[in-house]
Amino acid sequence: MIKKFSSAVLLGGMLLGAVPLVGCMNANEFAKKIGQPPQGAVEMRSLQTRRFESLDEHALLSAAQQTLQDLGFTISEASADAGVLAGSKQRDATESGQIAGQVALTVVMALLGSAHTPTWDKEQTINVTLTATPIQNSKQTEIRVSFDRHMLNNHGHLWRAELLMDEKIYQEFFDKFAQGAFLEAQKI
Amino acid sequence: MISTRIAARLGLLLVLLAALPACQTTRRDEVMMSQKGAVELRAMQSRAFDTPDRYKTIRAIVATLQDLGYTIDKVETGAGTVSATKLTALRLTASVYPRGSTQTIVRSNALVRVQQQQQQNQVDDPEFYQKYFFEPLSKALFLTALQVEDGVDVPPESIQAEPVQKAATN
Repeated sequence: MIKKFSSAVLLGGMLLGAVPLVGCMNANEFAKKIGQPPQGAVEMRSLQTRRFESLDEHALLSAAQQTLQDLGFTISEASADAGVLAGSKQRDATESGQIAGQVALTVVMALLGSAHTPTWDKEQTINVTLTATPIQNSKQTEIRVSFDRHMLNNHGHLWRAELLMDEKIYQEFFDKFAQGAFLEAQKI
Repeated sequence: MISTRIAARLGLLLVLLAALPACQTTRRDEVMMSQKGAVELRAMQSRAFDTPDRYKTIRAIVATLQDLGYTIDKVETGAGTVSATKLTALRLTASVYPRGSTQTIVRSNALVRVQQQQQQNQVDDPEFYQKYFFEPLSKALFLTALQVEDGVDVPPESIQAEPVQKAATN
């Protein structure tokens, strides 16, 4: 009797230990997954970086600030000592095609006797980080800009976060920036 | 026989109870701090670099974080701190302080949110700090990240806290 009792408790104890493992993804594992260098880090670097024939870091930073403001960003952090600018902008991400698709899916699912909550992109926030670095033993300064975005759906939940890898976005930024800074950007 | 059944029920109850707190994280703004000791955490989170140049170190940290895909949130060169976020889930703060007149210590601390509605957890895996922060940082600095031995790692000119004297009554 005692044996059976103890084995039942042991089984319970084993399950007790096992359940939290299944229940949650380990925070450290998740951090190591997210913390990895992004895929295509080398291409990304060349996409995001240009060199300018100037040693005036402050002038470049203020030109960059104006370019970002022209593009609708709000500057949230600026440090001239470290050569950093950071900002963000919100944008409506609603696409009528996506909503129509979701509504159609909800109707089909309802006809099949199942509930589907229509979900679509509602709002996206784009973050920008810009750094200026003087190149040693040269008269050039390197500007690197990176954009990422996260999307909220119509229920207000975050459901997508990604680094922007679209070449056009970076090209457009540097074109505008070079016009503002009266400088010719050199690809590295 | 009856008591076996009771024992089995007790076991089942324990399992059900265990399932409840498994992922239950009620407050989103709470932070789950590491259960590891201060010495162990300090060892995994700090490295010394052979440079007295604080600005160079801060710039290298910023460049490293940007390269790793973080968005910079805050840079304060006076206090020597850099805070950054990666894809809204991983937040990292690095602080810089001098060690003697020839070295600079960098300490970083990361918090991660596994799911959007959950609390943040302090990252306490040495591999994370080594592989995804100090290795790329030492490449950016062209310097080796030196393990900080415990006991030596005290900020210079440590200031003793003194109790505030009450003003003399007369």
